[in-house]
Amino acid sequence: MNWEHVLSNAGTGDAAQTAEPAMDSETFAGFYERSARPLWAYLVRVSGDAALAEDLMQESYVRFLCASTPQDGEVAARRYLFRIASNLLRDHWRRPGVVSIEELPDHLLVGKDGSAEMNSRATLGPAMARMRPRDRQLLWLAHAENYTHREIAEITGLGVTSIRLLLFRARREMARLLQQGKRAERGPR
Amino acid sequence: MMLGSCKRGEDVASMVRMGYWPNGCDEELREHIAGCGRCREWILLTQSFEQVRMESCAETPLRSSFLLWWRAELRRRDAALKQVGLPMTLAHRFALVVGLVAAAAFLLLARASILDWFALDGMQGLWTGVHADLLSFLATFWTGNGVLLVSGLGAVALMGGVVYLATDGQ
Repeated sequence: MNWEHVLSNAGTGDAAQTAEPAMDSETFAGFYERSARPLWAYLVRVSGDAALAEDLMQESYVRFLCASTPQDGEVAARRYLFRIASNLLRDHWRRPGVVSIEELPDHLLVGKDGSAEMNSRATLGPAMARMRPRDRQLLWLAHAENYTHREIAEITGLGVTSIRLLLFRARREMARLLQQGKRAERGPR
Repeated sequence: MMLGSCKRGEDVASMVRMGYWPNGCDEELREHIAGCGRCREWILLTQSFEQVRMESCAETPLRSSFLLWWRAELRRRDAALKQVGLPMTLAHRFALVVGLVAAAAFLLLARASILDWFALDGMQGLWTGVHADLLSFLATFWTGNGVLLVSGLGAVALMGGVVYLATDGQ
């Protein structure tokens, strides 16, 4: 059954039909399937809050569909989606009364099962928690998503030169924290 | 991803991205990495982030894309409706402002008569006062201000017509 047809007829009249959707539902289903996992990983690791990440992910997709999507292919569309998500994260952090990730205890940020495959998260989680939100964002986009400086600038709204400098500093700091964490894991000999 | 000032940065980046590190890395590049702090740092970060990304991706709570699509569709329609209703809202606000200004002007101009009415004793006195005022008010129009009355009524009718046409058009 074609629900789109039924719902559009039961909709709100001629005026509403003038607003063209950014993608039809089938195209969007494919795009969602390919982009939801990396977006979720980005949001949950940068925010440190699974419930918030889920809310922001849904809101990002809704806003993405409501906006006029870039027409230069899926790579650009995905970058645009990350940009929306980054703006939502920034708005969330700017809101008064929001608990910053720095205020959360480490045990809330680290995997609870302690299995061997969670080692990297157990090391990276506390290290990320000690970074500033913007640094976490930049590092994730650069190292997990493999975006270039220019693409990161487009996503975050910062200048390319600033990103180069900020990433350099954040990388040094993160590497230091990771090495500390690994030394702590090995324990005193 | 740039690696700052290291000239082998791109080679190291593509080697790690393709999964050749550490086993598939050629000896010459391996020697470079062993001596380059920036490349080692980059490999450490990229491997940690990629591992966490992979683990996080596996836990993604996927929702129905169709529901998201319809949520966006409803929001878009709602926005379109608001946009369409904007002239009506503005017309309502304009009418309210005109009404309030007219009421204020009336109260200002007729304040002497109103104060006189309150000064009268009992209903009989009030009715007599209102009757006399109405008669004198109407008499002013019949004696030469008829044009003012007709143009006032015309303006009210025109305003009603404009609002009706705007509503019908939407």
